[in-house]
Amino acid sequence: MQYRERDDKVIIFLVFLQFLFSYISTKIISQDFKLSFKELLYVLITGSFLGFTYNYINIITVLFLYIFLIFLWRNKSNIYEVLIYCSLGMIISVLSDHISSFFRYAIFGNKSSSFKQLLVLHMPMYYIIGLILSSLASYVLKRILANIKNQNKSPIFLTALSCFIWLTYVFSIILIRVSGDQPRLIILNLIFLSLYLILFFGILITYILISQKTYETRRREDEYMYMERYTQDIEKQYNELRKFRHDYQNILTSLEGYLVQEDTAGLKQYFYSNIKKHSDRLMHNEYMLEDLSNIKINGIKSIIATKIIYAQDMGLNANFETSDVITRINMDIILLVRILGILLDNAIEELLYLGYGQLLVGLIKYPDNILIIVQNTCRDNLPNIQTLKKRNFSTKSSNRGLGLSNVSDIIDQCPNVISEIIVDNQLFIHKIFIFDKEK
Amino acid sequence: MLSVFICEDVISQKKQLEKYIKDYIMMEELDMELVLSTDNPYDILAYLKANPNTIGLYFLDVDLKSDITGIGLASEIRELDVLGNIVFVTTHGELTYLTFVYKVEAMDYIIKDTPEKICKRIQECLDIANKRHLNDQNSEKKLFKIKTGSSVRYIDHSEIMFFESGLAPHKVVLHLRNSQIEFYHTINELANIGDEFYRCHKSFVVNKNNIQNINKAEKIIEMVNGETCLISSRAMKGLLE
Repeated sequence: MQYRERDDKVIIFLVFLQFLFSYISTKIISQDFKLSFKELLYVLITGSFLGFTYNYINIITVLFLYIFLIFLWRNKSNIYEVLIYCSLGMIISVLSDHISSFFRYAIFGNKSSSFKQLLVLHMPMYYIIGLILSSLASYVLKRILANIKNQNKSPIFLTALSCFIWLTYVFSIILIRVSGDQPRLIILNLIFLSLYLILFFGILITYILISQKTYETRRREDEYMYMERYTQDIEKQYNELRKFRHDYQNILTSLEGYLVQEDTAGLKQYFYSNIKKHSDRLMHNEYMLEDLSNIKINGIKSIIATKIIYAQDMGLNANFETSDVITRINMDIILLVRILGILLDNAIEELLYLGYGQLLVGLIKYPDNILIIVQNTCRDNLPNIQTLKKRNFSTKSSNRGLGLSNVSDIIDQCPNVISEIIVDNQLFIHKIFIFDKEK
Repeated sequence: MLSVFICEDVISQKKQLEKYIKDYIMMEELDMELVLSTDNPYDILAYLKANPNTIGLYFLDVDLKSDITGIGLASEIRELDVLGNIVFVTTHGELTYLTFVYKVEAMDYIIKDTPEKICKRIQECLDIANKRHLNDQNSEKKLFKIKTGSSVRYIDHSEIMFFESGLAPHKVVLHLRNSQIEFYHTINELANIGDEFYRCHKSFVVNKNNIQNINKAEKIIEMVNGETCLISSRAMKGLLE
């Protein structure tokens, strides 16, 4: 809005109100409802400062406003999200200002920019429209960001898009200010601004739909690959079994030979040198994936099979067990597969680091829930669980620190899923309870 | 007195178990008695129904020649004797370790190995069960009852660092010395479970006995296990008094 009455105090106050609104809007969009005295003080001071400078730099104030906003948010989230929040907050602030101006002109005509009218008519309308838009944007953005996070992507595209739209807005309001604050121009500008916003959401939705499709395809490919490896492994085991049956036949025949000849000494020697060896081999790891056939959900079966086969290939002691047939789990399977992937990767890494130990994975069916356990040997001096769960924490110095915090994020999203973590006695145990009914 | 039960369908092995157990109880003068040794799982259930206050230590074979397995029997024993200790005797090795431990909350399992090893393992189980039993009897421990999954657990107050309300509604995270347990509850009532608990923040209830250090500048409480929780300015005054 442009202020016709050159009253400094009034302008300071109005600019301050606009800054206050941008702050509230950004708070709503970022869903940060914590109030702090420090923040309010910051808004009060910078808002008044911006009001003073408005007389000298006019509409350029809006850029400073944006920068102050980013500065205030800088530590609340990662920089990409902060830029989205602040840009969207500013976009909504400008848009509601325009809509409000449009109504003011429509109802009261051209000469309605007096201080009193601005304060009584414009500001309340501006706040109401703005709050509605912010809540809407906050709802949509939350879902979009969750979607992006689920696909393990960075929101950089969204950041670029919102910054771009915001800069276009700035450009267009500076332009309109240079050519004077005509009602017609305001309407024209409003149309442009709305078009931009629609374009923004249009591009965004298309982008998300496309990326969701590619994600889905990739996931299916992965699943197919896992299933193939699982089938190969089953075949390998089947061949082992055939070989064993063949050996077994031979053993029986030779035993019979010794018995017919009543050669006890030979029998004894034969038993200890040949048969005992076989019985030891029977207990060996590679026969322990048979329980996997109890899981009737392909995604879950394949992720467990792949990781355990991988661990066994690496020479680790890894087993899976379930005594129940699992046909249904009350949780988005894609999310569960992600959780299992992270937990199993962590476990395998830890065992590779240690060079010894055991990985146990189990599914247990209770009357009203299913329990998934991932248990592995771990080092003695592991930090406390709170530290392990921190974002960006990793026991290795490399760049993958999203492990456990991601798992907690997913579980927080599911009201019927709870977890338990135990780090004790060189064992790391992660339990996940999935309830059949929503709690 | 702890009652010891055996359910094993191979007579020779059953006799062997009986001998190991009786000898060890006598030798160590444990407060235990072998009350029932049988090959029929229903005998144990009948005994428990007739003597409802029994706290037992059960040695069960997994493969019983009956219409229920040792695991099924264990689940039914659990219903009748919540505090009992169950030990499986099995040939299966580690094949179903997690099932033993979690499905029926078995105390331990013994692999049918050489007689000396079996004997040693049985003695260990008797010792552990005895220690637990004595602990439960003599302690003045204050316990917090919590339901996770399908089982009810009792947690010693001194193990509790703090409660934290979760991001999802109705979920509360219980921070213990070495573990974190989520359960369904609201944080509001948790400050009332004992005098040592204090609502230090909208989302936290802290155990005052386990505080290591209070960082006044950053409004953080450090616990004895190194974890931290938040404290509000208002609660800070209350806590320091």
